[in-house]
Amino acid sequence: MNPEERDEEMLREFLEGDSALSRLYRRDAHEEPNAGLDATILAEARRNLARTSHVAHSPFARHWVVPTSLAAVLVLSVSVVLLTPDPVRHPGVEFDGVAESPAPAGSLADAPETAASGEELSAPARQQRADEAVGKSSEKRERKAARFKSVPGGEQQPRPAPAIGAGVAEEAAAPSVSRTPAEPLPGRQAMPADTVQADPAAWLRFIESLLKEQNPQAARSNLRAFRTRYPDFSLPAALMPLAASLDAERP
Amino acid sequence: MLQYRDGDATAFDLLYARHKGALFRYCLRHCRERSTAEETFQDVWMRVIGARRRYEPRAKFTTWLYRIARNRVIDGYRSDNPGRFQPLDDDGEIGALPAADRNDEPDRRLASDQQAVRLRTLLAGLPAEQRDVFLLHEEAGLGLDAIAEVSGVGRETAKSRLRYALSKLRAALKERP
Repeated sequence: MNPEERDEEMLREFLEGDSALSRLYRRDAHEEPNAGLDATILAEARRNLARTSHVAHSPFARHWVVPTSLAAVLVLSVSVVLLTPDPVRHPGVEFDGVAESPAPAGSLADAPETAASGEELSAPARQQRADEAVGKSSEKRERKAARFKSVPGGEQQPRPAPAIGAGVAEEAAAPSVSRTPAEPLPGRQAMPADTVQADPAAWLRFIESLLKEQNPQAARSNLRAFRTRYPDFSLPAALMPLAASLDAERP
Repeated sequence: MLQYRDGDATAFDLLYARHKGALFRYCLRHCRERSTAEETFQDVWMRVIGARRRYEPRAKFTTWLYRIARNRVIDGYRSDNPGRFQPLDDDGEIGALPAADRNDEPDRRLASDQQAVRLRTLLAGLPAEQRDVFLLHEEAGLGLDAIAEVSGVGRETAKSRLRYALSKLRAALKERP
């Protein structure tokens, strides 16, 4: 065995841990750090743990911090949604202009009339509207309409704070156009909404209700507009006299 | 170490108990005096503790631990007081008897095997890199690949250093009974 082979064999035995050199070294290699040094190091290890938050770095916190955060966000979101007042479920709370409110006759229903026949808003018509403003139910609707539009004087009417349940009663007294499309409206609010005008039968019922409520001027205006829009639609018998009077007015 | 990183103090106790003897002797063989070895040993563990929160198991803990220890020893060699550590020169000659051995307790020296004492003396006189690879195997139990990783050299370089160390020790033990 040449020297290189001998060194290689010695290295192999040494790495395997059973060489004579290893045994000789281990025979007296038993030194240990003293107890004071052990205590110092172990105490420092615990101090290091104490310096950092145990909760923040515990295995539980590491694994559950994200799910817990998501759950907290979810609970908060649901709580906010549930605690927010819903205008549909709480009609006493007023939200001006929301779709659930009845169609504001003074704004929506008035617009087509003014746009289509602005010249018809003559002095007699305005006088007629002033007369039609009389009446208990009409006043109630006026007040409701005032929530959505300024009064003719240009100032916003002060609105009394509604009591609990007052809004419900008011809603019942002045149902929306979509629910009772033929309900007459006083004064400038005498023209029905576009949805009613789009339905000839509903519009005729609306005109009939105007007659029943002793509102002939509004009925005449509506019937005139109706015949302009639906010239070939047959009229019910109740409206025939009114139609005849309109024909008589024609030159 | 992962358990200690996550807040388990008893895990560090076990870790320390498992490695303290070998690491202490690794430091002791590289230092001329026991007090220097104790200082080095404590500093290594302080670095381990300080790195707790950043610890990631990219290598075996033993490999990581001895890399820290080796760097600390090299820092000691390069410090303002290099005489506290064993010689760093790589002249290939076995050095003189270290002061630590001369200061050993007489009873212990008498009780220990004469050849074992002589081996420690010869080991102290080895060049630092050759002494280091010998100790990394004998004390840390590392194989050639791990020794190369700790030393930051290739496997063949580590093997060559170890071969030189063994050859010198063997020859010196035969020549100086």
